[in-house]
Amino acid sequence: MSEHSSASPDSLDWLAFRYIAGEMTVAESTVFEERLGSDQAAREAVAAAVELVGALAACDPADLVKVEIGTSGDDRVDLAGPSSTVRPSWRVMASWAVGGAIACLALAAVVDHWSGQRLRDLAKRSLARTAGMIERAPSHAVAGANGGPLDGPLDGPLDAGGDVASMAVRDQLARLWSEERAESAGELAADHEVESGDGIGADLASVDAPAWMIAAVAAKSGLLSDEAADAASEPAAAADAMPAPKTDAGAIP
Amino acid sequence: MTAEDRPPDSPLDPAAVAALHAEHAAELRRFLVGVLRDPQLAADVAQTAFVRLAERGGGTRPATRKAWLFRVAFHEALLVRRKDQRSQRILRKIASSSTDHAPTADAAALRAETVETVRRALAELSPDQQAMVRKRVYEDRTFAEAARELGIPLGTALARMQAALARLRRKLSGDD
Repeated sequence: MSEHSSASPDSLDWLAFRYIAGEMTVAESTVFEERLGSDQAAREAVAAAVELVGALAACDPADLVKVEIGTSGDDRVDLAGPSSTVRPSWRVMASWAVGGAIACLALAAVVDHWSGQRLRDLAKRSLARTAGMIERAPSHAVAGANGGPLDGPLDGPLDAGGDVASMAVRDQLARLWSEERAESAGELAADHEVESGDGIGADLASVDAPAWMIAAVAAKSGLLSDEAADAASEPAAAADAMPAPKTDAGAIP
Repeated sequence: MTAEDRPPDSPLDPAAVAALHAEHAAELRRFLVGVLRDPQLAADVAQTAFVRLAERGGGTRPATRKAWLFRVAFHEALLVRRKDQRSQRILRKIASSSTDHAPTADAAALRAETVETVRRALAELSPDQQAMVRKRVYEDRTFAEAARELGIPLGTALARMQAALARLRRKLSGDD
């Protein structure tokens, strides 16, 4: 060995790295190569530097742990390189895309199932209440009499307004219908978080009572004349008063 | 007859040459890559050096044969380099030397282990040191370019790189 062998390993290794990296001036390189001609430790340091660089190069920087640097703590630098900080690898983008698609599908399925179930529930309840209301109206009219069918004749136009009781019942049902719709719309609006002004709940609540319902009830308005009159004078109690069974068969025309 | 008894330029026993080749060929080739910055030239020169050893290494002492081999190879490399001046930007060439030769199964396993060791060692560097390694090795920036891009003085960049390499070397050698 030569006199150079007493140099500290780090210094020699550093010189070797600078040498293989081309980070020496011509003068430095000349001196170092003179040393390489006589110093086996320097030669081995060059070999070790090449080995280290080769090992580093074999380690894919994209797989390295992402690190943050910067004196301020706000400057983040990815060890994988600037390309990976600006443009993620296709694997990362693909995984995000697939994950997003799966999440969207799952969300859509959940919303579809939930909203469909919710709408079905609302429809069932609405139909049940409507059906019950329509069913009760004739039933309490005929139950105490002969239990016959809804066979009352329709006298005059449905909306002629000639019959005060009929008008009262129609108004009553229209109000109930509106309340029903408003309630359903409110629930839907609340459930779908549309109170913020998209107008869906208001649109649902503003729908008028359908003609078929008015016609169906008005056809029996004569049967409900007494209670309809009460309802006309006490609108707030109309909903409760309507289902009450009526046993007065004499009311049947 | 011992090595000291042989003439200086006498041939070396083929078995001894084979043993030296098995023990030092890889390291010699890495050294020559560092000098020549060209893996193929390095392989050629290494082969030439072993031929010289076989032809004239009979007079060498076993303890000095490795140094003799490396010295002969270095001088041969300087001759070759004068004939074939190569461009700079050499780290990539050096790095590519690792993929120029199809590895055996054992070598592949060893290499995978080395890569994993390097990955862990890199992860244990400070963020500043990692950034410097990235700039210099993976992005092939010069120290001056890396310092400029990182917004640090050149001396700081050099110090970070030196510290990073020293730590990596200790990690890889198991001293740390």
